[in-house]
Amino acid sequence: MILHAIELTGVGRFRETVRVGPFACGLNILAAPNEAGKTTTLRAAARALFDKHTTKGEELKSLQPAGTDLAPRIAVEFETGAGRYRIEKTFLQSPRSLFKVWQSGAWQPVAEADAADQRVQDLLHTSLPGRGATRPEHWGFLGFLWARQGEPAAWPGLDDAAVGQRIRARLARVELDPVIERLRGRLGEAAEALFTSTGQVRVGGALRQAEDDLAGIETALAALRQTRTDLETVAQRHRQAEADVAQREREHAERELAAVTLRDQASAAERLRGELTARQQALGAAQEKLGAVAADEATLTKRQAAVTATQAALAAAEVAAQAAEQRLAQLRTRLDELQAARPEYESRLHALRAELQRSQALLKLRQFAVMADALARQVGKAEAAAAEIAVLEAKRNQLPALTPPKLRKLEELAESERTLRARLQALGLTVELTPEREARVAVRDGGLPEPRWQALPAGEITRLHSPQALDLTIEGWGSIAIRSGALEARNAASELDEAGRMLREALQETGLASVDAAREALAARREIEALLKAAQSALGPYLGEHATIEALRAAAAGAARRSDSLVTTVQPTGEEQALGLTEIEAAEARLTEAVPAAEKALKDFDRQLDLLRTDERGAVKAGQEAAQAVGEQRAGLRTLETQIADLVARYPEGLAAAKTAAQLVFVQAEARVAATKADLPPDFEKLPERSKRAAAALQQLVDELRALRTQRDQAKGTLETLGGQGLYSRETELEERKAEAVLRRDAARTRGWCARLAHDLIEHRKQAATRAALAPLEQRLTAALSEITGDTTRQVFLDEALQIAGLGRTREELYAFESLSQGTKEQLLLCLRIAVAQELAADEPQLLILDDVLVNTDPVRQERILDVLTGLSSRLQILILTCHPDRYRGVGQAIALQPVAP
Amino acid sequence: MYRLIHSADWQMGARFAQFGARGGRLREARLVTLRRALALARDHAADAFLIAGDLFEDNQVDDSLVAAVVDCFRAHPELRVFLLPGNHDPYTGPDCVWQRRAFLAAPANVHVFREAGVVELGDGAFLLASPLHQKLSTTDPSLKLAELAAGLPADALKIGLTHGALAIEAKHQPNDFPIALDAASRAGLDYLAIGHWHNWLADMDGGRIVMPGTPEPDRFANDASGNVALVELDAHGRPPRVRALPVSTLAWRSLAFDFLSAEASRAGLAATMAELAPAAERTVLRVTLAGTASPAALVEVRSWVEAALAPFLVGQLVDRTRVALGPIELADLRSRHPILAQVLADIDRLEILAPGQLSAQAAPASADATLPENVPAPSSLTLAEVQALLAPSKIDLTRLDPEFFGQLRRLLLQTLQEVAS
Repeated sequence: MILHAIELTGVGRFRETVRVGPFACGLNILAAPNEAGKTTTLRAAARALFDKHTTKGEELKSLQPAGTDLAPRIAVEFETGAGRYRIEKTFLQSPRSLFKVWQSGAWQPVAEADAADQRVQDLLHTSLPGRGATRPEHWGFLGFLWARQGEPAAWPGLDDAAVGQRIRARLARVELDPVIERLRGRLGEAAEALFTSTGQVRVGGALRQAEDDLAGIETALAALRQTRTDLETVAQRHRQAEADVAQREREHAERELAAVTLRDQASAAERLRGELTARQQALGAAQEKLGAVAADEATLTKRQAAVTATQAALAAAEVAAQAAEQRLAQLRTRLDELQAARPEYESRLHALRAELQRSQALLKLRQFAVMADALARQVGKAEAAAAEIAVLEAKRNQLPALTPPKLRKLEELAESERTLRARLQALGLTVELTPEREARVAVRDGGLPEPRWQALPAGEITRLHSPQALDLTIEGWGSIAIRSGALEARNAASELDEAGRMLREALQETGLASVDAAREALAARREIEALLKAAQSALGPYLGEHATIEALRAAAAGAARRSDSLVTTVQPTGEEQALGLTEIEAAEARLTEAVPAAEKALKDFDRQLDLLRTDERGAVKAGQEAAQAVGEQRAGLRTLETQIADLVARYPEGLAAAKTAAQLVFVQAEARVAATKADLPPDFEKLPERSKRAAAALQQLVDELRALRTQRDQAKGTLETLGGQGLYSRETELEERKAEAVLRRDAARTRGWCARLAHDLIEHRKQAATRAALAPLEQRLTAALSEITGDTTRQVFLDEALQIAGLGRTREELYAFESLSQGTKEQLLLCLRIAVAQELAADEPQLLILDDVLVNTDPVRQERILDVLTGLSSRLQILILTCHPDRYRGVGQAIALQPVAP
Repeated sequence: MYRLIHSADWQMGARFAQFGARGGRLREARLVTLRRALALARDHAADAFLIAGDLFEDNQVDDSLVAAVVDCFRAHPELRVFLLPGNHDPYTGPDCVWQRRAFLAAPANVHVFREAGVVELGDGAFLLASPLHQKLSTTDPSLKLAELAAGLPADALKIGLTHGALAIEAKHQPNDFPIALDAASRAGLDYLAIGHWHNWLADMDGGRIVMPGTPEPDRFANDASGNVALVELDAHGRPPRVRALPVSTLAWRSLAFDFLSAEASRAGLAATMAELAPAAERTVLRVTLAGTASPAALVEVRSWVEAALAPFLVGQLVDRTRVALGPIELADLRSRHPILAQVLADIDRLEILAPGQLSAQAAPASADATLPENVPAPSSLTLAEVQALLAPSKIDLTRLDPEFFGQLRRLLLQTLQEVAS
């Protein structure tokens, strides 16, 4: 393909339409400053040529003028070996595509939209990505022949079937056998139909279909087999249930028989037991009858013996009654005797008591008289003491009522006055008078009401003192008033006045003139009081227990009255009065002992009397008891006789005959009981319980049997259901389908693997052949590089994928492509692109685009490159984009970006 | 005289997975054969029709099949049919085929021995049966017949019926219901009808034990099958007269084509198939291709055989051939398609490298073939190269067998032929 022109509208910096071209065959130089839109123009042309018009994405949006939503519109005119074409595309907004062919001197639209895109794609052998915008590897040959700005060292892989392989074939000069190529393609298609390129089974392919069928069949088979397994399990359960039911049925029959037998035995035993009870009752009755007869016999015997005993007891009782009566009589006689003797004891006691009372009265009388005399004497003494006390009290009352505390207070006041006075004198005035002649001076001191005259001896010093003021009247001379101005002296004088006043008041209160008088008065008072106290102490013993003398007098008077009164009451005889107190007291003592003795004697007598009375009562009681015993014995005897008569009357045939008959009945009943007991089975008492247990066990077994039968019947139902489903037949059908599916799967897999392996083997051999053809290409690239660089020592080496492996003297010592300088990489790839372009140009014209790729090339090498490119210009269209017009001045045809008039 | 038809091993509902969906045809043929056997019994005025086990292939066959079988018996009400559960269809309880509605409501002439027992056949003849209740057992089922026979009059004509393998040394499994070789005389039986093996076997125990085999062949190797036994018994103590009556519907034939003698094989195969052609709808035919041939010859013969097999009820082609080029073909291939010649040599090499294939015969070496001048002579593939070659496609070298390599060569050459034309 070669380019003729490019038109852009709303692309990059071109809001309006610009046109680039026409491009010439050979070398074209598009020189413009940076950001003039050179690269943008070519990229836009690539989008128009290779992308679908409906493509969106950043690659397309980056074409829009900055800040606008303008739809990029691009038209590219190009030519291939088939003709000249124009593709017009609008992207993003209202996308459209229009493909035109140059016919008859004009552009003829031949396809639009997707069809237009497809036509260009077919013409240029390009491809499309799965999504998004195309990349250089999709651009067909131009992907290899376009050295893009900023990535001049990028080189697409050669794996693409249409383009890459063609380039490889061209470069390696391997002419593939078209038949083998078709064979390879056919095999590849066959393999692709079954497997993916990574060896996975292709979805929708025959192999996947067979595998899916097989999986479905396997699933169905598994389910079917599971059902069969379930059936086997249920069958096993059913067999087990059958066996269990049979076993339980046998057990049931056995247990039922045992239960019936046991029940019969229990019934029979119960019947016998009833019979035994009845017979035991009969035996009991016979035994009772026999016992009654025997008891009656024994009773009769006892009663007869009791009659005898009672008769003897009656006799004894009658004797005892008589004895009791005799003793009672004796006792009553004795009692009468004693009762007659008692008044004597009583009168003696009374006499003694009267005598004692008289003695005591006399004694009391004598005591009262003595007491009255003593009290009378005591009153006399007390009255004398009281008179002395009264005298002393009168003396004391004449003394001032001064007490020691009062005296101490007076003394303190006097002392205080003295102290103040001394102090005042110490503070006060001292006047020394020394008259030439004797004189007298009246001294009027502040504290004295009257002046004090004092003689003044001539020529001697007379000192006068005064606390504060001193008024002197010297005879013959006149008065002199002396005043002290000191405050302290005035205060001391004032305090002295106050002390003097208080002392005077205190003395006045006591009625004494001075403190010394007070002292004397107090001493006298103390003396009188001591005497008074002694008198009062002497009065105390006379008063005795009496508080006052008046009380003493009253007591003495009372004692005299009682004595007189007692005399009146007792009226002692002369003899009695003559008796001394001692005698009276001795008599009283004697009588005091005699009275209790007499009382004791009376008591003893009464005790004897009581004993006798008790004996009398005992005798009475004994007599009564004896009489009662006699009555009782007589009554018992009558009762016994009646009972004996009744017993005898109970057995008309005679008691012995009745006893014999009862014994016979008893023996017979006993024999019947023994016979019944012998008929009863051992442990017959346990038979009902055993029968119950057997019945319960049987019921339990019946329940188990019912449950087991249910299980069995359920299993049977399940088996009948499952058995009727024809599981084997269904499995057979599935197995046969499976066999077919397996065959299909194996056949498909074998077919796929065969195709894939055959294809890969052909490919393997192709690559081997390609590798064998690498040497000539490497030599050609080495020569081209030598021409550019001038270096003939290095050789270019390619790898099996026709990628540049590196530079070096040998393959083993090469410098890897990645490690080379950017300039060398660019130059190497330029050589490779030139080689590719040359090869491809043999079929149709080719375009080689070099977008600012020689910026890293020094001027010398650039000159050599231009030599090479110029040499190729007859066979290739070469478009060089540069921002260094000076470097290409004079080379090829200059191209400019030209606005198109609307 | 008492006359009966003795059959066994009908295997109704049998599986023929090797024929895929065509197995149904073979199953249908068995019902046809049963009808034929019953008709034969009628024709021979048989007093009874015995099936000595394995009437069905399995207890879980489809109800419709069971009903169809019972209908066959119902169609002959005058014929007493005695059925014995065998090891394939043992009487196991409610799930077994004998408890299906069709059998529970079977016509009066059908008697199923669900338990061991005796049936009086009339005229002093008794049928003693010992059915199987499980699939495997080491117990001789004929022992029960001896117990049953002990309770019968000594002079009665006694016919035994059971199922199991004859206890022939090294020919039976211990748990395959081994039947003593003198089971009939031991039990005092005049005839013991048994079943289990699928080929005719008589003349045991003085001719009193007979195994008639399956009435309908079920494999290519059963060459003594396809019969029922017509048995005539005169009286107790007299030896039975036994005759095989062919009843099979289908014929199973296996033919071969060997490319070693391709012409003769073709002629022989063509003649035989022509001979079989009239009965093609009743023939199961297998043709095995063997030998080495060119791709063209293989394709041609295969196409011819496939066409010839088409009319047969079941036609099976087994291809065990090996593709190979003749010297001239090989030289031509090398000259015209050198890469393909290299690929064929690679396939030979792969076949050698495949595990277990080291001794496999290698194709004529192509490594030294004449290649174009610009293509250097290829070296043989190394194992590493092979592994690298197979890895992307995830082909497991260990799973590749000679048949695969044969197919690979055929595919390659056949595709070449297609693209070249």
